[in-house]
Amino acid sequence: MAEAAPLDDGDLSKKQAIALKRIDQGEIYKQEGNMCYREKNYKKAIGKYHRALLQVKDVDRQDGQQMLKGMMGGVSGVEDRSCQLTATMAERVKELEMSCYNNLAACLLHDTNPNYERVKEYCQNVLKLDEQNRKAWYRQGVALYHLKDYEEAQDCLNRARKKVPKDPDILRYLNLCKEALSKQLQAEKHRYQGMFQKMAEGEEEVIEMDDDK
Amino acid sequence: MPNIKLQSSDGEVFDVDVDVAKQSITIKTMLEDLGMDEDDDEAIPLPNVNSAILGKVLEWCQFHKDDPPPPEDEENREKRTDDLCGFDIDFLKVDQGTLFELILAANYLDIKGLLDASCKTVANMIKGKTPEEIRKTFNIKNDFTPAEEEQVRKENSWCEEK
Amino acid sequence: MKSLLELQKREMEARLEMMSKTYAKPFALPKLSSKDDVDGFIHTFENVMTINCVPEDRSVHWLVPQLCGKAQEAYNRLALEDLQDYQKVKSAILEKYQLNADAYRMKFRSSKRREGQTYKEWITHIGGMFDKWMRTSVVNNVCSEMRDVLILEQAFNMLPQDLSIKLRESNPPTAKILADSVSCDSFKLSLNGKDAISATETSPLSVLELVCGDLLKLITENEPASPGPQRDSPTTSEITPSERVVPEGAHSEVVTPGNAEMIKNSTHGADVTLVEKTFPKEPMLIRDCSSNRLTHRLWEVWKKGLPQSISEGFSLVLHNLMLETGFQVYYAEKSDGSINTTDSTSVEITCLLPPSWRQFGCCRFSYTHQQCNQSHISHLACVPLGSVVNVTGIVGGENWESFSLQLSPEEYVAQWKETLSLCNTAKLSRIFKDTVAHPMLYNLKENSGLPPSHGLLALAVETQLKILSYLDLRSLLNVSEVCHTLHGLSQDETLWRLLCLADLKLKDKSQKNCSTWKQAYQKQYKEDLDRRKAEEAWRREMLARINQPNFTPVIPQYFPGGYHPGIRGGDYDRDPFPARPFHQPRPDLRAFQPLRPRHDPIFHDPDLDPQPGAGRGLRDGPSRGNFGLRRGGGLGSFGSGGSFFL
Repeated sequence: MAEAAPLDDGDLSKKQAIALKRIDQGEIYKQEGNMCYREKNYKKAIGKYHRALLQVKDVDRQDGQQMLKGMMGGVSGVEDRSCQLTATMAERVKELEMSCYNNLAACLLHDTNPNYERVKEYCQNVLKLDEQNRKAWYRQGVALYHLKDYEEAQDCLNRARKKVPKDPDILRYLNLCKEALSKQLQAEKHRYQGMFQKMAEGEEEVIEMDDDK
Repeated sequence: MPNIKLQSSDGEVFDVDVDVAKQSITIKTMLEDLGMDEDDDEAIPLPNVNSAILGKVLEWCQFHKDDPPPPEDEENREKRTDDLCGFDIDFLKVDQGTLFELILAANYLDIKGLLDASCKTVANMIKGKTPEEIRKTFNIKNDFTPAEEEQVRKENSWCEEK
Repeated sequence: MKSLLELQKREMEARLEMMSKTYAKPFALPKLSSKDDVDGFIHTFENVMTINCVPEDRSVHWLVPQLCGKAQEAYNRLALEDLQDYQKVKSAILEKYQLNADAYRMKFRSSKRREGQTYKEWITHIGGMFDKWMRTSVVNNVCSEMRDVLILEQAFNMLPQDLSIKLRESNPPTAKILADSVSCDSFKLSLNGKDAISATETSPLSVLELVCGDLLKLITENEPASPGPQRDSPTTSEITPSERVVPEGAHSEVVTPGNAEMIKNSTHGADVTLVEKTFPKEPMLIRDCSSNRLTHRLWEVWKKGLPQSISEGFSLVLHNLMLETGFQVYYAEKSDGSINTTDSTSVEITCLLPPSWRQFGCCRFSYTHQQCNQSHISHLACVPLGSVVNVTGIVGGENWESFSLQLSPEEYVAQWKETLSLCNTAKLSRIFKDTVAHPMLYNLKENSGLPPSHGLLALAVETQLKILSYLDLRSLLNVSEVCHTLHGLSQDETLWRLLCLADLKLKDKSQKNCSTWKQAYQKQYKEDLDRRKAEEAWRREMLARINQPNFTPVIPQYFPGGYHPGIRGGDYDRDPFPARPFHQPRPDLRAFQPLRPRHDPIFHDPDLDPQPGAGRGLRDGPSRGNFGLRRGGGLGSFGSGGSFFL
């Protein structure tokens, strides 16, 4: 990865060096995850992506005691934990989190019985970082479809469509949503009709009874 | 009981029961995504937590592993600080450095019970103290000028509680 | 036709059997059971044949009697002419077990080192799998360098990550050299230097009859153990794997083959199997120490220091606590005139105790801190005064600040002479660190010009808010007076909203026409306060009435809500403060019924005249049910507070 960083990260403090190492390690895990994904080893890929996320989580509030070896003690005593990330580093962290969450959602969707709520959650994490992310909108749409929230699903799929209007997957799911919605509508109509029918019958009975009196 | 390996920032590996580790929502989510597999024995590195703190965190989790999950609604619950269990009170009788490290670790690993307990402990250290006493306890420097300090005191004078 | 064939087959078999029995079997053959690894069996069988120089066409004789199960089926299905051909028999058997190229490839790719298997064995095994894969894929010529590269790559992939990274760096050219370089199983443990302890990796200490304090020696396969420099083991260092595995790169005792030394915790190599927790771990921090368990560093310091009194022993413990907080020993010029620079790795290990720490009955230590300006030196002085020790920490820099504490050594040090034994370590650690060590550190940081972000202020904003959300009103206001950061934090809207909900049951700030929750709280608070004060005043009035029955009451000027009671006997008379905060009970008006005659014939007071009602003026006390009702008429209800007004 061609890194334009050296100029930016020129005068690195120890803390920033540690942060940089963590970001690097996170990217390594992500690459390994991508490899596993390509080999269709989804479980392993999920493990790698999670590890990548753990590396960069709270990297701006890191453990300042890494200098001291654990074995010799000296671990308590709070020190300066906050670490100012350079702009490049912050950007890399954001990119990494986005790809990892996106890929996690993709891996989960390959499962035999996917946890759609979790997929939705990961997609939302991506969208918090980047509102325009097409893949995240698409996957969220898919998850919502399976969770039977058809209107929201359509909304998400349409947003994904903005960039690639002819994408067959998106269109397919949009159709599925439309069908499902119309089915739902039919079912509701039927239900209400039934209800009105019953009410009407009930009223008639009452009227009849009055008549009897 | 299946085990899971957690690696602290300084390289120590802790082999713990999955039930204990699942007190951490972060780890629980990961395990759920993996389908409760053992994840082929590779340790999970936690670069934000060093070994001493991770040890203490796992000790807490071990004790609380059979606890029922805490209720969800945050806002409607009364904000009490006197409802810590005996174990937690003793467990958190540590120097401030460790206490804050525990808070950070609980935040990183998303362990609600530990985070609540340690925050309540800190809140209890604040309650009942004058500003000067708070400064002394937490080693905070007073960066108000005398005029500013007076102004703030005036601002707060509407409250008659002592 | 078939039965003839069968007969011939059986004849052939019988002959083979006889032949195999006739040839005196000078060597033992492996037997194939139905669960066996066919591959392994054939491999062993071929080796045995080779070693005993049995030609291939004779091998079948020896092979057949050893077969069973699927292998025997496969053999039986063969054509007659193939029965004597070893290769054909072998390939039929392998095919039956589906050991084709793909199977060998899978085995090569997925084989992991088994428990009890050395690296050499494992690498040989995967080498074998690779060869078989090539052979069954009809690849006859695999260049040996390429073979090495592929086997190496596979080995790296299957090794644990940290080990593999390290080994990749050392760049072994062949797999064999790789196997040799991973030497973690090339030694054995022994008590006397000669006989190895027969232990599997999971046998607990009790089975091995090892106790705390045993000296272990290493025997390698290369050289016999030589009794090198032996160190007395501290009472605390337990040997063999604990639940914690120390990977390479962490500080551990250097283990060199042939050199008898102590091994601590585990071998170097992240690959050691973990055992169950059947014995205590060595504590890492002083707060985890107990009477017979000490941290390694404390033990070292004690041995080096050899205290002459309990206060000296105690001072050593405090010195260790300082080291735990990250301070490093500083001592003035060395003999060659150079000042000991604080290099984090070397000082930690080499210098635990400055040479002149004992002076005139007191103990004195000097430190620098690795995170702060190295020219700022701090000191710790422990002065024994009778049964207590006065501990003072002084911080270097422009402003010399000191923090002191008095502690009683007997409370914490049980033994200091022959050995060191502590108690109440958690309490000592907490008190000392909170009172001396950490304040010194924070001060040092300030003096070094570092940003004061530690402790409470080092937390993330949401965590700080979480802590503040547990505070009551007064504490929150106190916090706002501490410093600028906390002042800003305490103005947070969510905090005040929570307070409004909790204290005042105020759910909607627009009720108060305020834009912020804090303002809403203030307003509501003031209103409640005023109301309470007015109620108090009213109650005092009521009490005063006891002594003066004909006293004309002063109409209270303050009517919350600006409502002036117009109609005598209205609700307002009965209860002038109807709306009150939920937590304040309605004052019990019945308590204010003074004992007095209902009717005074001499000084007729129309207010006191009873009205016809349930009591009919003949009974004292309030009539039942009157509180909730208003009697009709202009004179208002009697027996209630209303009659005291107007």
